[in-house]
Amino acid sequence: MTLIRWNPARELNTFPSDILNMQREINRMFDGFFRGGVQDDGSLVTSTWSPATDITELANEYQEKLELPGVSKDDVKITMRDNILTIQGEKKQEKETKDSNYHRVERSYGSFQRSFTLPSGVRSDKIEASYKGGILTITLPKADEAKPKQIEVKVK
Amino acid sequence: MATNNNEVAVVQRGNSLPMVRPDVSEGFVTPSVDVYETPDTYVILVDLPGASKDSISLSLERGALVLKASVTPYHGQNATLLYSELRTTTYYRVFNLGNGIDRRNIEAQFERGVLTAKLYKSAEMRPKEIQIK
Repeated sequence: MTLIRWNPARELNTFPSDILNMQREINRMFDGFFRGGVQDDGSLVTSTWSPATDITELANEYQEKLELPGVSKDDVKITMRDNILTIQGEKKQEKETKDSNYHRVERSYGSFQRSFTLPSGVRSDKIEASYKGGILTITLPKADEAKPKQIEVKVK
Repeated sequence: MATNNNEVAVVQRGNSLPMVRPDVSEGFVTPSVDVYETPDTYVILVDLPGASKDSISLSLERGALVLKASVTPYHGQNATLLYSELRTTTYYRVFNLGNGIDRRNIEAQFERGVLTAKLYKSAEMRPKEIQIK
């Protein structure tokens, strides 16, 4: 065991930052509970799990993919408001629960919600979504002014 | 002896067979799994989002069920990643089966990104009523 001289002043220095860290942790814990936000009727949305997602940009559209294995299409709701895209829904438990004895539960169940602010210029009326292999793919076509354009420069 | 979190023991009792260790050398993801028991079966549900059905391999090796699946790449060449959480990877999980499972009678189906494997219990493990004369 190495002997180190005890400096009480050093411990006092870390004391306020420890308190700050603890406060930050508690804030984060509380934020996690209310990950959802507020619904239109004013009620709070609490989500139990969060699907992983990728957002990509192509020449004429944005594409968003979410991992939603085992979710029924009817249990997913996609809404677009201003530039905020919200995907919410519920993953329900399989029906065969009568007479079943669970040994292990690792998969996520329950309600989920994620919102994303997209770059400007999305044609909200042309948004499409498809669900295959447990992946929900949302295609958001860019509005004309957002598409990359070649500007012709005339040389005099 | 360190326990490997990837392995799932489906039946706890009477498991005298040696454990199968993962043989996948490159990086892989351990998919989430639910296991439940009914009077006649053990049912395993595995979340395999993004995996292509053709890439799923479910095999019995030395008394263990080995599951492998590959994710089809999510994006093409001309896509710019703005935000990424998904991983194009391989799913891998080993299920060590104890005694009491009829190894010739295993059914599996893949739907909506979830693999459901039904393992039927061997005859002596199913609940039976004994008549008293």
